[in-house]
Amino acid sequence: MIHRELLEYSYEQQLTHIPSALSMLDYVHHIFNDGIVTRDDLIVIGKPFGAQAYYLTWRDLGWLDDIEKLGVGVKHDEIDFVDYGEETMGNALGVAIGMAMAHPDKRVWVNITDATLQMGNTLEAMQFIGHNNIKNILCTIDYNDKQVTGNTSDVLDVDPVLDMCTEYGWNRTGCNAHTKSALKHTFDDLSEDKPNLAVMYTVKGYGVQSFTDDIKKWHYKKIETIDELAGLLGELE
Amino acid sequence: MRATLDQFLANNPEVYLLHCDMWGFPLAPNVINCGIGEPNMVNIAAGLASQGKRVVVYGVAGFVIYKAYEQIKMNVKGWAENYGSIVFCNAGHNGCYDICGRGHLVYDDHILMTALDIPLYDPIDRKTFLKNVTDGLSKTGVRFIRLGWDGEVWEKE
Repeated sequence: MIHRELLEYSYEQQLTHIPSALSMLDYVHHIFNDGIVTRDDLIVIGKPFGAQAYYLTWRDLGWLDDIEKLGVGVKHDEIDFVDYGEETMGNALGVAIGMAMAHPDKRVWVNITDATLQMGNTLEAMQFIGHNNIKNILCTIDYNDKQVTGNTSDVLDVDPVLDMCTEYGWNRTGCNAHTKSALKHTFDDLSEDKPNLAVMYTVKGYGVQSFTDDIKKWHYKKIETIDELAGLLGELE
Repeated sequence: MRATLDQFLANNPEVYLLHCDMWGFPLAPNVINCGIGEPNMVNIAAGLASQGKRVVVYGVAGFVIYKAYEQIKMNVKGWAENYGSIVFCNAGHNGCYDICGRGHLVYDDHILMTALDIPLYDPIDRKTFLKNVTDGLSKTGVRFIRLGWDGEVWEKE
């Protein structure tokens, strides 16, 4: 149902990055609805685009009353319970370190994309977190193997970075992030003693074949007409 | 100069000092060696300051301002500076690192900080330096202090 709402909301608000939103919708929805991340935690958004997934989740929880006219990317100056929402990418984990050090008693949730692992500032942060065992950080990676020009594994593979994190002492877990039971199992098994890296294996544009068939075309494209919306909704059903 | 900072930090354990693998700093809970990763160091400083903390970021030559200019612009200036305080202490303004090459020259820091509207200070002695640090940490915001007296010994006051 929420997938359908995401398409309708994207059309009404003329938002872009719809396949990105569908990629992470299931696990973002799960994390908040299952209480993995609460209002007592710090929320750090390193994947700001595809914001519809966050907005709809937070609206359903009653955290947001009005989700009209919000930005295409999550902004901390727009939503008071978002502690940091970045724009230029790659900085979220580093900022999260400072927050985690300032509040060692709180969980700091950071959501990033797989392509972010190509960025040096992210790698610096991952090393620092592992080496210093910043154990109150929970990092989820939307691992859909897609970036603007192609497959992440073709452009610059980031799989070895996951191994690097394990070597640095992170607790690495992961699952098919479109499966409720797998998500539950994954997040039930988070470590209390180590920083957690939850690799969310996703499909960009999940559930809509037009998106998955032509992911480049739809990366920045809006749903332009009511007929186009109807067609996409039909694919969901 | 580092001895001056050491003394200051010992007296102010709630102040964090972040550095990128610089010798001479003590091992203390509030002194954090970030390794040679300036962008990450500035992001950590921003994260701390965003939670109301007071942070000194210590660097040499142009390493911090060149390598982490994006992080200073996007995460310190206009965001974290509104909640906590960050003081950049940048050494090497007496040319002591110039022998290493042009990457170690600091000649446009004034332009770069001015472009971000970050106040820049040129303390002439230890007393002025300490005043710049304490003033900078006494309120929210970001400041940049140029240091250029490596090797100079100051008498303790």
